[in-house]
Amino acid sequence: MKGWLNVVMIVLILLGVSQLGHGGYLIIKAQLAQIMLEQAWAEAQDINRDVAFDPVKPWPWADTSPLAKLRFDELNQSLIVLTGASGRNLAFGPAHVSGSAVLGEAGVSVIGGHRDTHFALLQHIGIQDQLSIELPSGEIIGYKVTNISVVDSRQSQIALDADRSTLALVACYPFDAVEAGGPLRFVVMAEAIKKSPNRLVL
Amino acid sequence: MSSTNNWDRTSVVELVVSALFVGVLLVLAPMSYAETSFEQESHGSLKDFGSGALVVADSVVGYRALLRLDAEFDLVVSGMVVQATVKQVFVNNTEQWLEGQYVFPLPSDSAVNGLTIRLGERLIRGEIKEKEIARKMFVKARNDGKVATLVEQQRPNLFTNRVTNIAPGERIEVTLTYLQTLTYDSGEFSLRIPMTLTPRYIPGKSNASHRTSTLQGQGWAFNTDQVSDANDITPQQQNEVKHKASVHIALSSGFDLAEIQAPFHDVHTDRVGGVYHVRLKQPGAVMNRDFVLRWRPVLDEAPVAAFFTESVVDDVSANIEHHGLLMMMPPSTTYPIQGLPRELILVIDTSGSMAGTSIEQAKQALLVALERLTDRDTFNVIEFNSTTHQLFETSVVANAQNILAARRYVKGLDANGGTEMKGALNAALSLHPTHEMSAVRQVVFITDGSVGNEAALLNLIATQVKGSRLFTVAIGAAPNGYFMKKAAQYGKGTYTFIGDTFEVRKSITALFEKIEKPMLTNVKVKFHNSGVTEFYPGNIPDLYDGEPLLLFVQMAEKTDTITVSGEFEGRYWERDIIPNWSFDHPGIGALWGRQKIQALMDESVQQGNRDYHRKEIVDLGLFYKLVSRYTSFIAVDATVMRNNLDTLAVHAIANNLPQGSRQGIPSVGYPKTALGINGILFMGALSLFLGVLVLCLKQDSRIVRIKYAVRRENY
Repeated sequence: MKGWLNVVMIVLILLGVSQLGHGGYLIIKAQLAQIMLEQAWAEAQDINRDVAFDPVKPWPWADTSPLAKLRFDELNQSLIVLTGASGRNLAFGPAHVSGSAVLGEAGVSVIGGHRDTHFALLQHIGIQDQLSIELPSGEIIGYKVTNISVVDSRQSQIALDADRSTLALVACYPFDAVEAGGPLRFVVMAEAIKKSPNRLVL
Repeated sequence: MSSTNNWDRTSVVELVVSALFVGVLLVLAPMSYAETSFEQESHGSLKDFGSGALVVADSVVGYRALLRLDAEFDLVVSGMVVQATVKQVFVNNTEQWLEGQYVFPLPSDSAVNGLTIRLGERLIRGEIKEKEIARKMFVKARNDGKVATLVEQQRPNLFTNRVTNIAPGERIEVTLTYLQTLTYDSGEFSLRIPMTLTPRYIPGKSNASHRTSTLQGQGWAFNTDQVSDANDITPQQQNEVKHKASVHIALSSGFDLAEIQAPFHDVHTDRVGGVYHVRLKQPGAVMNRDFVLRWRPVLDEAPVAAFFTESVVDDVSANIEHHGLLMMMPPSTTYPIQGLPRELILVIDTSGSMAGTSIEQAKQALLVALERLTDRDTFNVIEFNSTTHQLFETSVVANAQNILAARRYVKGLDANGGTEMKGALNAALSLHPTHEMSAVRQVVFITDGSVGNEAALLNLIATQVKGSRLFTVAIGAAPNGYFMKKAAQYGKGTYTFIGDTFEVRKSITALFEKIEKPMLTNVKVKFHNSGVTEFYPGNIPDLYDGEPLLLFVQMAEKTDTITVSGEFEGRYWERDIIPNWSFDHPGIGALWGRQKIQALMDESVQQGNRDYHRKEIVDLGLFYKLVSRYTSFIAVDATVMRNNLDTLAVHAIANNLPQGSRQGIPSVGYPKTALGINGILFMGALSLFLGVLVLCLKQDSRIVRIKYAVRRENY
């Protein structure tokens, strides 16, 4: 009886420690990556470098590069956005979905981020909040949040047509769900504040 | 008291205590969730909405279907041309004045050439105007309180329709006409009506204080289609809010049909004279699925070549312009397929972004491709991530031994590292063929296209492709479709999209069946007339088996003969087509205009200036009455309906692509965006807690026993 209890106890404690360790590792990885990305970002801003032809690698084996700096004015936070929203890249930072509009151009640019690390801050965003995107060229584009919604990813896709540059920030929903892989997505839409020339906004 | 009894008691305590703690833990976990969602109350309690809900700044809107929309499609098919009429009915169910915005898909080659609106007894005809002028007219009509409709092109296959000043309880019919050409492939004609109106996320404009117009309470209607698909909605609401469509197609094919079918809908077909009438069995189909119709002529009546004509008078110059649509099938071999020997280069992306199901799909696709090689072919396999690696030094004969080596190589591939596509493209396109020059060189490029340096790569393809053909195969949930399509276009090949693991074999097999057969290459078309003749596409592509040439022509003078020539199975081939000018096919001229606009737009993209041909496109749009990037249809009523005191609310009618649709509206799937850290931490904390609990209770059981003994002594 007691021996059996001992085994259960040891297994439970070991399991607990390893799970906590794994969770901690994911959190530390997410935070550390942003620090390395900040360095790569500084490099990408070198005016002599054309990042479209020669992307900056944050670490030598990376399959991604810093694309822009996303600032949340009200929350006083910023994140480096990566290229390519694959599962691997999202562990390091929010990433731009490659099929969506190029950042800063008319159309919807989709940026995905993990709800439990980088994009946890999305839940504190309100309508009319200001965001900005800084491109490697130094150009800064201001955005204003126009919509916040929850959608079912099984039933819909994000339409990419828009008259002006629009951001769709996507995180899984609910933010505090215990399990990963649910169908709901939290979507924050933000439109560029500056009107594009020759376009009358209706 | 015996010790066994004591143990029983403590084990009961132990059980109760641990059950309590577990209970508390389970209660606590959702509580932390409740707390955070409470914070979100400031912009609406998101938790309550569930799937599909949209949250707007001002909640004036409510969650009802404010605008209902029904559509009637009436299509007349004659020759290769479809003349379509779409009637969209807007019904305002509210007590306030509304402006409806509706984004709708049409086939990507469609030419929108007419607009009328019906308001009770009144019929208002739309005019084609330059986009900015049309917009100004619309805003003026809106402010004046007049009914107006504005139809704009967002993308070649995506349009918006805005109807303003819809009175409470009013019903407005908007009728659009468009032209398109049929798809004819392997002896089968088909047409598709995109009508999906299932949930779609439309980026919206909610109430914005910086707007100076009189619009108040501007927001987005909740797509009730979306809500209706959520779990907790009653069936009555579902019936109430679904957009409905009716379809009628009059098919005058000019030949007897062996088969006619609509794969996704129940239809019935009547034959009246030479015309087949196709209707939905149950009128009012829910618009959540594209309507597709396919038909096949009886075998010996299948058309081989045709030239449809139309003559258009230019009002300004009084010149007559002659237009034609040439349809011609390539020759096909009658003996078993023994195409030219081929050199097949299979390129696979093994970069980190392919990790997971993408690499598995890609490997499966390569294995299917390897199965199809014969010993007349030569082949090579190239893998690339941060670096490029090729299996064989040069292409090798596809004998059993080499294929076995390739299969082993492919099976061992693993996704890791960066996406250096340049090296792979260079290797694939510039490797010198090792055998006789007459071999067909085909490069099949399997990737998710997640690259940042698109422009440089496309440039490389354009300059390096020469005699090779590049076939891009897109894999994964959200591949970079734009890049892949352009790469195929510059590489003179085709683009295939595989969205689902189940489709790999089917899609790859279909691709190879097409490219294995001999094709008509180096196609040239000669018109035996004088004066200027202009046709699109300007660069005539290779013709694969069963795929006709479709050429849109404008000529200053009629021609009595058209000669199409090319190379087929290594020999010169030609065919003469004699046009019949006695019968006009309306719409051929407008379709030519549409093709020219497309060609000019493509050229502008290549020039790096999207407005490079703006002036010419505006002129074409105005002349042929076509909606384009720079020209829109506008219809304005003469009567003032709404006075300035009544406010106007703007609502978008949301619609969507259902998953798996292939109509190519620009849209992407949602990324997966959770690590499940909460779950991991929760499980960790729980196990640790239980472990420590067991440890403590084991220690405590002794103390409890002592306390129990002490208490007994006290009594």
